[in-house]
Amino acid sequence: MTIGGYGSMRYEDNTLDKPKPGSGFDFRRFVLTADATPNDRLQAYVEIEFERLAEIEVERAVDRGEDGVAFAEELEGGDGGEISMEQMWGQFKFGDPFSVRLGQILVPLGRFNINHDDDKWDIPRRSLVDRNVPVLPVKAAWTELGIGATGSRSIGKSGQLSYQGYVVNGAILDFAIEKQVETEDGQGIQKLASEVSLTRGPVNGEEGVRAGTWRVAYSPTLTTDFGFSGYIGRYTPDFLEVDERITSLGVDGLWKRGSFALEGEYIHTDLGNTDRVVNAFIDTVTGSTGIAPLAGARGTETEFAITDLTPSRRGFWLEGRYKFWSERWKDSFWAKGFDNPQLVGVVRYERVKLHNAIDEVTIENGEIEHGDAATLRQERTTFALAYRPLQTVVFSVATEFNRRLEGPVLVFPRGFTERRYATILAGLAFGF
Amino acid sequence: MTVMRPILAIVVAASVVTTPVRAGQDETTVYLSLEQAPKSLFPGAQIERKDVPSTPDFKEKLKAKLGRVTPTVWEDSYRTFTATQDNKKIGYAVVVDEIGKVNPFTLIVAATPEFRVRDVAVMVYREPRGGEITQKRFLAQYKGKKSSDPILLDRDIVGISGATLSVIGANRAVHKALSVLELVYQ
Repeated sequence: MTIGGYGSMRYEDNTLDKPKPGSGFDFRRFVLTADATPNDRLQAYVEIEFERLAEIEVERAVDRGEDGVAFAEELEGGDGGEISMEQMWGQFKFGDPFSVRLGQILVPLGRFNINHDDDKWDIPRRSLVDRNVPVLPVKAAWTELGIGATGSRSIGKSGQLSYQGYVVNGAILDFAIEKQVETEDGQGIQKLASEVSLTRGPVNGEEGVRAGTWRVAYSPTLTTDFGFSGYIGRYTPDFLEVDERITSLGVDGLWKRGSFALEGEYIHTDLGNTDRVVNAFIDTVTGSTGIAPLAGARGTETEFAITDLTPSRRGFWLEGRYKFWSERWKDSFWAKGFDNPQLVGVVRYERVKLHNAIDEVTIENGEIEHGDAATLRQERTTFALAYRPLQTVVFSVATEFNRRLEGPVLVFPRGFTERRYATILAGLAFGF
Repeated sequence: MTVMRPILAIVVAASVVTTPVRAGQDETTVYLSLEQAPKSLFPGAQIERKDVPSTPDFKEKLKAKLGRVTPTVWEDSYRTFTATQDNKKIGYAVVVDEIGKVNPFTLIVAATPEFRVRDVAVMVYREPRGGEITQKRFLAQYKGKKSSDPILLDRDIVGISGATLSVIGANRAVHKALSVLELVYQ
């Protein structure tokens, strides 16, 4: 068994108005991997991710007093912290071009999701398309539970054709319940909010197999590679009583010439008739009466929300990288002790469009609030310089220039009204 | 949705029509035996084997020759070969080990009489990942390289996504092999 992994962190500051999102040091993630090949026909792989998670602390206590007994439970942890089984699959090789893979697998939509390790990239932030917006139905790294086939075959003298195809449980509109304590009109209230949004599919086998995903890639030479990928699947849960599908298509490629590399990806995602989904949600919450539930007991409020529905989204990123080093620097501080240190200059341009995006539909205090749909477009250009003392360690600095092209608010970070903003980033990523 | 049924049928059908690959041996894929390896790189040639012990003196000379390249494996001895055809020396070969990520893989490197790489083949691969370096299109990049060339990733060697450490290991192996052949036969 081989143990490995990768990790990354960054510092970020931006010109957005306060409260600034994402400024300061950010522990992006630490991922542990284990890879075993007990036989050359059998392979197992596990990837466990700790994302923005420094600690989880649970405290429980029973306090018996004169008036009775109190049971207390307290959960402490950082905002956005997550532990996730990112991948866990087994593979059985039937023949050179055909292996069966079963388990929690990466959805092969586009090229980033299947190649997402932070130490492989020179910019210390993932793309709008794959992570920040995302145009991918679920943000990278997107995994689903399923089974399928994978393999590759040589074509001619230097060509390689590879494929992956799986049936999976599939992305689904799932709910999360939030508890909040708020102050309102001088009094404290407890708020219970149920938020329904698109997430990776369940792993308990309850919603059935709902989706299929695939990628076919052709690499005519070692320096060129392009792929065509897709994902089709029902995303509406059984409790909503509508049947709508995600259809995503991706085109991606990589081209290298000498020290220069150009890499890119385009994704288009269609979520079907989202109005039907919203109406079904309202129908379900109101019990088909059209009358929204009133607030809860005195001092409490309840809210039901469905978030971030967009009939269609599309976007692309295109990244140019130039690797360079001078032999004159071989005795410098930056080269001493390293076989092949490199500097990498990077420019990435990306653009995303959310068509008729609805930020949120809420049912709260007896009222149904249906936000206006708006088409949102944003572009981002990133310039970065990365230093790689080893191939698996990268220190980088970057500047991002974001511009809102259409719509009243930015797509990322969502809701800000600035027309333009800039960000500086400094990051470290390592693999082992 | 009952998409599982046709997929399972495909899997079962494929298991019937595809031929199983060679039998594996604990995390190890053997591509060429020691007997097959030199013959595959010099087809039709007469092969003469010479084992060279890595004495402290030899190791010192090898270290000096390698310069900035630090091997991850120092062999106790080197299995080298001389290939002759029509009474003419057509090249040399040596078997070397290098570590990709954790486990060593075994390479045979054949050189011309001018000590330029003639061909490279992976004999044994022992890592769960990075097996793409066994592809002929990857190994073909080494043809014509000499020990004074950089033989470095992204300089004169194109890498493979997901096999970075194995590519770096292969670069070290080729460097070491050329240096050993020069020390033994030059």
